[in-house]
Amino acid sequence: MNRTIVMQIVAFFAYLLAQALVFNKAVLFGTAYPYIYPGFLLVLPIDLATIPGMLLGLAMGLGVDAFSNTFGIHAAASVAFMFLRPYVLNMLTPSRGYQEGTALQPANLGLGWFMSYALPLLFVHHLLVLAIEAGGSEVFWFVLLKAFFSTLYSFVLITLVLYLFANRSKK
Amino acid sequence: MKSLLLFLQKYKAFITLLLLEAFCALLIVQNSHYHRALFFNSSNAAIASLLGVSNQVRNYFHLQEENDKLAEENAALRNLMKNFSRNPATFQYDSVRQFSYIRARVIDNSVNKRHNLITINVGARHGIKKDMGVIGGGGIVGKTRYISDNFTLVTSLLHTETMVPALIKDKVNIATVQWRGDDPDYVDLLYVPRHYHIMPGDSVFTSGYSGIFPPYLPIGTVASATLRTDAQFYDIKVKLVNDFRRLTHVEVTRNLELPEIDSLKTQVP
Repeated sequence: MNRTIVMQIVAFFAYLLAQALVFNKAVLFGTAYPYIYPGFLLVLPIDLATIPGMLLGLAMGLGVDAFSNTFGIHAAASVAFMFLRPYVLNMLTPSRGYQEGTALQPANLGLGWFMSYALPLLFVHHLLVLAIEAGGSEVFWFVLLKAFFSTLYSFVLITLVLYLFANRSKK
Repeated sequence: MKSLLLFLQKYKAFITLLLLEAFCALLIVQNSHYHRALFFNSSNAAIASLLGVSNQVRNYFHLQEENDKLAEENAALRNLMKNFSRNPATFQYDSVRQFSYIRARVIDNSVNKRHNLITINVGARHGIKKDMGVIGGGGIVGKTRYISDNFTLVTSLLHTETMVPALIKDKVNIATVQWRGDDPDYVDLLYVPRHYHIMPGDSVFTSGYSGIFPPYLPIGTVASATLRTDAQFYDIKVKLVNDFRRLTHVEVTRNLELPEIDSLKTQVP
């Protein structure tokens, strides 16, 4: 089997287990919820088509749901995330286009680019998760506030993880 | 026909999105309204054992605290025993015999969601059935909901749909405890009529009317009781005796008389 595919499968389970066993317990002040598994979805190859992408999102989401007893909430948010991803990528195309085979890593494309790529997607994802979880019973601005802080928290964690592993694979 | 195919071709990603989201919505609705696990949850053996390992690691950091708590509980029980040997009349033998207890360890728990669930390491093999009470940490913890062979998923008291019949000592006999979904240290006490005189500091216990929990188990103490004009009932906040963030060991209560009570209830037309 192709080496990159094996690496992707390993990464899939690594993100899933890290989320389920470590980061689910790392909620800050009851308002910032760290979701790092979208990091896996963010750095999937550029040329991944929308439908297989959404199926991957569904698989990852259902995995996280199974561990967090949230029954489909993360799956719903991840599918939406993967549907929106190509649109955001299109909007952010550099003037000379993406180079073929470029990994969507902050180390390759710059932290500024990565921020404008990841932050909106993460915010939509987090907002969906937290809004469905609240089920209309919380005041909306409070959900919005939680989504805002959670997005920042997750973004910092995801970026750290990506930099750590980018250095690993270069050596 | 051709234009239909073209339409499908053009919007296939969007149609897939709708289908997948409908599937997810089905999962969410099934689980919150029909109380039935359509998909994996943490009572699944593989998932539960993984969570168990990570929990064991985390528990190491709280061993000292856990020891202190056990020592405290031992001392309290010993004091209680002293009373009984002196005055056997105070011993409530009925409620002791009526319930049997199954010891369990908490392997996963959360307090940050609105529907918090707790995974414990006993299941159908140990005699756990649906809707048994779970107690521990000096108070009540929740009710059993999903049961696999070796693990059980418990709806925590910190689950907005859990309701527990309660009483205020020497004052109110019928009331209900329910969590509002925000602060894991406080629950609401509902349906206390306005003609009672409720003070902060009053003790709240289980009433045992549900047959799920033994009677007179501590739930908490009244933190604030306010009475709005024209309200029929008090707004009461109860400070829980349990710290749900630090739950490590629990007991599942089995009411030995419940089958008999239930069969009586079915005879009422």
